[in-house]
Amino acid sequence: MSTFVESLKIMGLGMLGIFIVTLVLIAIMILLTKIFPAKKGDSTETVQDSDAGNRG
Amino acid sequence: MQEILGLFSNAGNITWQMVAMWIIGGVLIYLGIVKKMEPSLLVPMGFGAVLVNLPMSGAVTQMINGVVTEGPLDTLFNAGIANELFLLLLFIGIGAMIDFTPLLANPLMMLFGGAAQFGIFFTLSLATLMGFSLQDAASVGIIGAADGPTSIFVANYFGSKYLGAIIVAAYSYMALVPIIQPVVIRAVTTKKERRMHMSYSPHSVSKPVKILFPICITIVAGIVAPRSVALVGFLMFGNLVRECGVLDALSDTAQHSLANIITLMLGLTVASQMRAEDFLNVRTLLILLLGLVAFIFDTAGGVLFAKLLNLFLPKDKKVNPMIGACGISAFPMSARVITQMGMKEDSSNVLIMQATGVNVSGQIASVIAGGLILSLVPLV
Repeated sequence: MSTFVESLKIMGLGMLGIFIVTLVLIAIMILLTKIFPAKKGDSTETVQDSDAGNRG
Repeated sequence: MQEILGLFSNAGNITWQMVAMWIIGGVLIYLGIVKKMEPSLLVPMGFGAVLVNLPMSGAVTQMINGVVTEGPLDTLFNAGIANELFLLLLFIGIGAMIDFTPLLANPLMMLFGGAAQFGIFFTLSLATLMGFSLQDAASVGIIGAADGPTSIFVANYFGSKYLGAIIVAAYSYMALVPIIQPVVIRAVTTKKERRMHMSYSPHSVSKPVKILFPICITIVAGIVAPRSVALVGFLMFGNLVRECGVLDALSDTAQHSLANIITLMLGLTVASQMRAEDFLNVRTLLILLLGLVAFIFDTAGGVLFAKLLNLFLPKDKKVNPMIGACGISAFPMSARVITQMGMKEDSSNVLIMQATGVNVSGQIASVIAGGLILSLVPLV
């Protein structure tokens, strides 16, 4: 039971940690796009290459 | 005559467990070739499962006449998986393949990537209730990351003896995303929610942003979860090589030759952990089930988070909750699955760009989740 209780603690800290890191990364992304705004000719969003990523 | 019979004496060492593993290997090969499910990994794994489960197989370490003879698969395992080298090199290749533009253009999509890691921690807790140690539970839970290298990295770090089962589960379920996710999404959403349109306006992203992004991610993730520096760092290095614009040859090598060579060796080498005596037990079945639970709750976690967010968003900013399911690392498969689901509900509802942004964020979030697990779960 103590292992389960410890796992709940890890769950709480883990999800909290992920969201904190997520918010920090979002802030960084917004800051970067504000400091270095896109110019004409910069790439727009694209759909990924079909082979990309299906390795892991 | 006796010499001829002696040639086949090894057949007497065949056990039913070995035959069962040949069948499992055959199933993996079938799924890879005929069903085209992650063939780059399931085919070598399936073949490797046969190789290591032949009696007195020279492919793995054997004790012959009192002398230990190391097999090449064990040599490769020690050289590349036990020290995580293959996984990290593969991550360079994966990083070079990823285009973070859809995420950089819509940073808030990162929230869904975070939410969709819930299944990892939920499964970790569930596994402890089933008698797994914290370390093994963490190794099983990370299957939910839908990220093969991260799963192997974490399981290897904790020295989990269930590495074979974890790898088979991780890669098999990644390939089953088109089957698992739609079922879960339909269970937790209404038809009206699935038909929701999302506004989209194309955004551009400047080159300095795309260059600085991988560097910033590495620094942040490294500070928060220092044990994830290798995972995150190699992934982001690959991305930097892609985006810097002055290393096209290296980027091309990373995306193709390097990734292919490592993938070739990885699948065959991990099969060295699929020996019958380690693989065929109730725990393996439990791990396969828990892996499925991790995937289900990852998907549900992302979708339910999107629904929660919608309670607070203005009407014109609401998100289609299906895109929450893209926050897993199965990229770009998950984005395609959700796009197809969206168009099936309403042929004018094209969610590919939003789904891709979330799916790309899932790649980052899953590695961060892995790093947090390494930091939070004690080694012993």
